[in-house]
Amino acid sequence: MTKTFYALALLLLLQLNVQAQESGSINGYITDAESGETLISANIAFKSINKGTSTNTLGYYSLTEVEAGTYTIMCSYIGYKPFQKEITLSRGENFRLDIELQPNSLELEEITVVSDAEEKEQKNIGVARIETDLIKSVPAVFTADVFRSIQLLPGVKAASDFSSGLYIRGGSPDQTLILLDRTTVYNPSHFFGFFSTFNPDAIKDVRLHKGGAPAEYGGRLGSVLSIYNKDGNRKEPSGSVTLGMLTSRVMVEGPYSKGSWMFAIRRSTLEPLLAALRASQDGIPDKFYFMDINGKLNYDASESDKFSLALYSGKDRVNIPFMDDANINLGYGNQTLSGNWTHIFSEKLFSNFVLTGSRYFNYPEFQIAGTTFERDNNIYDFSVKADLQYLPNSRHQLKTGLWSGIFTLKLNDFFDNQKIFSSRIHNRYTSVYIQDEWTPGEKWKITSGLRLNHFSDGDFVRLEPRFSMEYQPMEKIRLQAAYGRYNQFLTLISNEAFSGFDVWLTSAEGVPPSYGDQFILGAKTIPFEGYGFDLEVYYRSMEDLFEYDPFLPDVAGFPYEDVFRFGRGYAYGLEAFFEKRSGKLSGFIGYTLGYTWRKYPHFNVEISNPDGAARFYPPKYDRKHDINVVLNYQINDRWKATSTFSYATGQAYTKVHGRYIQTELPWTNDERNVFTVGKVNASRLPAYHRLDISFSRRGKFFNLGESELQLQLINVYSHRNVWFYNYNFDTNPIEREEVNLLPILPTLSYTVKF
Amino acid sequence: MRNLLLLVLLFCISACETYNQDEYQEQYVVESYQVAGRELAEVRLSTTASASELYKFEDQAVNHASVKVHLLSGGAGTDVEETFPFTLTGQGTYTTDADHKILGTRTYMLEIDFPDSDEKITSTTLVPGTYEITETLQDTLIYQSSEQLEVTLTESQYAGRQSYFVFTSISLNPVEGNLTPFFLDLYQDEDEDLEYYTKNSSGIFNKDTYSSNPDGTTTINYPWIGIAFYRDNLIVSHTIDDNIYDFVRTQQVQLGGSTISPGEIQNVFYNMDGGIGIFGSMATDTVGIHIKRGPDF
Repeated sequence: MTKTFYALALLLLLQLNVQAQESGSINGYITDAESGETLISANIAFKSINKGTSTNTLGYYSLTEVEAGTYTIMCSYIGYKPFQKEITLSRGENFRLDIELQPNSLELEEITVVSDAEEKEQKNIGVARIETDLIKSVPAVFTADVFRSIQLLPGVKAASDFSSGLYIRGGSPDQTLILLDRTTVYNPSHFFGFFSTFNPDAIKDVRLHKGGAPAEYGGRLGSVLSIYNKDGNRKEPSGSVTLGMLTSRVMVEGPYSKGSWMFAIRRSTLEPLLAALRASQDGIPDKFYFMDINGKLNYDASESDKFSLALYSGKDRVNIPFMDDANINLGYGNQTLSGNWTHIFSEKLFSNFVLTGSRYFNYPEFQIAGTTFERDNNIYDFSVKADLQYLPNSRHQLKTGLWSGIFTLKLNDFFDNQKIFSSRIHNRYTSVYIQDEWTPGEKWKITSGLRLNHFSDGDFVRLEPRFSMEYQPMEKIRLQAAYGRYNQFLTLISNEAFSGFDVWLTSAEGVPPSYGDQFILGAKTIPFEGYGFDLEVYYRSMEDLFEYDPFLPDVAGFPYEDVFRFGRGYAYGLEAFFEKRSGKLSGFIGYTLGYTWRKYPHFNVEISNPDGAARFYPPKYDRKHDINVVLNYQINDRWKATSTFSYATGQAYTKVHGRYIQTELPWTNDERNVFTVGKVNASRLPAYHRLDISFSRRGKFFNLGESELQLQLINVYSHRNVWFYNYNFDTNPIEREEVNLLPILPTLSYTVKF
Repeated sequence: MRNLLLLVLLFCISACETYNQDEYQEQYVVESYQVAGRELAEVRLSTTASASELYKFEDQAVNHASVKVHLLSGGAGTDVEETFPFTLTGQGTYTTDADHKILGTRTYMLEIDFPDSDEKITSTTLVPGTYEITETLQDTLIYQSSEQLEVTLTESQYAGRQSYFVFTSISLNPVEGNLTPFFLDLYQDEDEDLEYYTKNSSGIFNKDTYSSNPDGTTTINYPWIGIAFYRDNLIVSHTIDDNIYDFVRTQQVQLGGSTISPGEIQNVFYNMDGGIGIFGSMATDTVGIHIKRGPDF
C-alpha cells in the first residue's frame, strides 16, 4: 500500500511542468496594521496582469514567475481598506513585501473588490468562513458562541437550542474534526453542550470545510473546523473586558521586543443566580461553573522564522446534592498545547512544523444511598505535524505533509469502590499527504491529492484520493466539483442532550474504521457587485459506521468488537447561500434541503418480523428544510442592529402506536410499560422557528477606551419549539407531553476595549 | 442560470425519498417467567392497545387460546420430549396442573394456537443452570457501615455466554418508618405507594464484572443502594435467559437514556414468533439479612 502511495505521489509530481525561470518573485506576510495579526486568505494581485493569490493559514503569500518590470500590487481583505503599491521587480529578484492593511473603522463604506481572487479562497468548494465580528454580533444565549454562529450556515444543523453540537451535511458531531491552532479538541463544549469552548475574544479566524476537504485534512468522515487564536497585538498593548449576565470575559494582548502575546480568560458567573434559587428550591447545584483560558506567545526569530506557543485550558464543574443522601459531582474539560515553527526556506518553499498535545478528561461521580459510581476518563493525544508548501511555478502549488501521533485512552469505571471496567487504548496514527493545486489556464483550477493513513490498533492502512476542480466560464460564475474518500478511526459515545460524559473509542481488530465517499457540485456566483449567491449539492456515503451499542447494560467480559453496533448511512442535499457583504445592510440567507439516513442491524425492523431486514431511518437531527436569515444593519455611527431568523422542518421522532404492561417480572413491583412503534423516526415534530434580535451601541468608557453595550432578545415572540415528546404513564390513556426548547430570553452585556 | 435553476428543481423533486409513518397494528402479548426448580409458571396472554386508548389488562386479555409448553430434547428446534397443556384459569391467564419442576440448562418451548385462526405464537427459552448462594459472611449489618453484605455464588451455566445477574432485596417489614433515608425521600416525593419499594432491584450486570474465586465461585459485595428498608430483608439473586435479557435491556432504553436521542424510540427486542412479549426463564437463590440503623441514620 505504501508503495502504491509513493507511485501515485510520483505521478503527481511528474505532472508538474517545472520550468527554469529567470523571472522574479514576491512574497511576505499580510497583517492587520493596528494589531499586527496575520490575515488568513487575504488577497494579493497585480493590477495590470491577471496574477494573484491569497495568504495561507499563517498569513503568508508568495507569487512566483513574475517577469521583471514595474507593477502596481493590490491587496484586499474583507473589513479592511484596500492597499496598493507600485513595485519594481528586476530579473531573478525575490522581493519581500510585508503588507499591513488598515481596518475599516465602520462597515458603512463599500469594499472595493480588486481581484477575482478576492473570494476564491473563501469560496472554495465546501468551504465556509465565519467572521469573528459576526460571532460577536449575532444574538446568542448568554454569551457569544462560535458554534452557534456556525449553526447558521447552510448545511450545518443544531440538534436543539441546548446543544452547540455541529451536525454537518448529515453527519453527527464526531464526524467533524475540530482543530484549535492545529490541535485536535475532543470535547468542544461547556455546560454539557450548551456553549462551545472557544472564547470569541481570543479567536482570529474560523474556517469550516463542510465537505470535500483537500488531502491536507483527514481523520474524520465529514468536516473539518479550523479555529485559529489571535497572535496578540504586535503594535501596542490592548484588551477588552466584557461583563455579561451569566458569563464574563477578559482579554489582554500586546507586543514585546521579539513578538507578541495574548491571554484571554472567560468564566461563567451563575453563582448569584444559583444562590437566589437555592433559597427557594431543592436540587440547585452547590457548584456550577465553567472557565477557560487561552494564551499565545509569538517569537519572531527572523524574517524567515516564526515560533509560537499556544495553549487552551477549560473545565466545567458541577456538584448537585439531591434528595436525602445523594449527590452528583462532575468535572470535565480539555487542555491543548501546541508549539509552532514557521520557516520560509525560499520564495518557493514554505514550511510549518507543529508539536501538539491535547487532553480531554471527565470525572463523573454519583453517590446515592452510600453507593458510588465513578468514572475516570482521560484522552491524551500527542502529535507532530509537518507541512510543506512548494511553488515550483506559477501554475502549481504543491503541498505535502505528515501528521503522526499517539492516542491514549484511559477509561476506568468504579462501582461501589470496585473497579468494574477498565480500558486502556494506546494507538499510533500516521498520515501523509501530497496535494497539487494546478491552474492550467485562467478558467481552470484542479486540485488533486492523496492521503495515506495508518492506525496501529488493527494495523489499518487506508488510502484516500481527493480531487476537486473549478471552471470559471465567465467572470462572475465559478463551477466546482469535488470528490474525496475519508476514513475515521474514532467514534464518540455521547448523547445529544448531555455531553459531559463523552467517551471516545477507536477502531481495532474486528472493528474496522468507518469510511465514506463525498461527491459535491457547486456554483459560486456574483449576481451583483457586493452580493454573492452560492449553490452546492452533495452526496456522501458512510460505511462501516461503528458506534457503542446503546442496548448494552454492562460490557464487562465482552470482547471489544462486541460493544459496538455496525451500520451504514448516506446523506445528500442542496445548499443555497445568498449574501450581501457590505453596506449599511449586510447579511445572508442560507437554505438547506438535506436528507440523511442510517441503518443498523436489528434496529428499525418490523415488529411482526424481528428477523427481517433493518430499514434505513433518519436520525433525530434530520431536518428536510432549513432556512436561516442573518441581517446586520448599521443604524448610525453608534448603533447597530443584528437579527437572525431560523425556520426548519420539525425534527424526526418516533410515533408511539401501541402499548402494553408487563406486571409479573419477579424482581420488581414496578409495572413495565412497553411501547410498540412502527418505523423509527417516521414522524415530524412541529416546524421550528425563532427570531432573535440584538442591538449594540458603541461609546466611550470615561475616555479610557471604547465601549459596547449589547442588548439581545432571544426568541422574540417566545415560540415554544418542541424538543421531543415525553409520554406520561401516570395517566390512562397515556398522554403525550411536549418538552420545549428555550422561551423568550433577554441578555445584556457590556464590553470595554482599551 | 436558467439551466442551473432547472437542475436544482430537478434535484429537489428527485430528492424526496418517501418514508411515511405506518399505522398501529395489534399484537398478541405473552408474559411468562419460568424459574429453575419451581413449578411451571402461568402464561398471560393479551393484546396490545392503541396508545390513545384506555389500557386495562382485562379488556386486552385473550381467553380462547390453546397454550402448551414443551420440554425439548435438546436446544431450540429439537424434538419434543414432554408436553404440558395449560388451561384458562383467569382473564388471559393460563396455568397447568402438570407436576413438573423447571429443569436448569434445558430448553422449553411455548406454543400457542387459536381455534378460530391459523395464527400461532412460539418461543423457546434456555433455562439458566441452577446455582446457590454458598456463603454469606454476615446475617446482621449496620446500614452504610464499612462492612457490606458479601454473597458468594456457585456458577450458573448458560451455553455460549457468561451469566447475567439481577439482584433484588425484598423487605419483610415494609413500613414507612423502616425506609432508608434516600428511599424515604423518594417515597415522600413521588406518587408511588409503599408496595413499589418493597422489591428493590439492581440493573443487569455481567458475571465478569466481578472476579471469580479459584474454586469457580463468585463473590459479590451487595451495594447499600440495594437496601430500601431497615430490618429483615431477603436478598434474591437471579440469573436470566436471553429472552429476559433482551427484553429488559431494550425496554429500559425506550424512554431515553443511553446514547439514543430523546424521542427516537425503538421496539423491544423480542425472541418470539407470532407475537411479542416474554417467554423467559431464570434461576434464583435467596438469603436473609437483617439491617440495623447506623448511628448517623
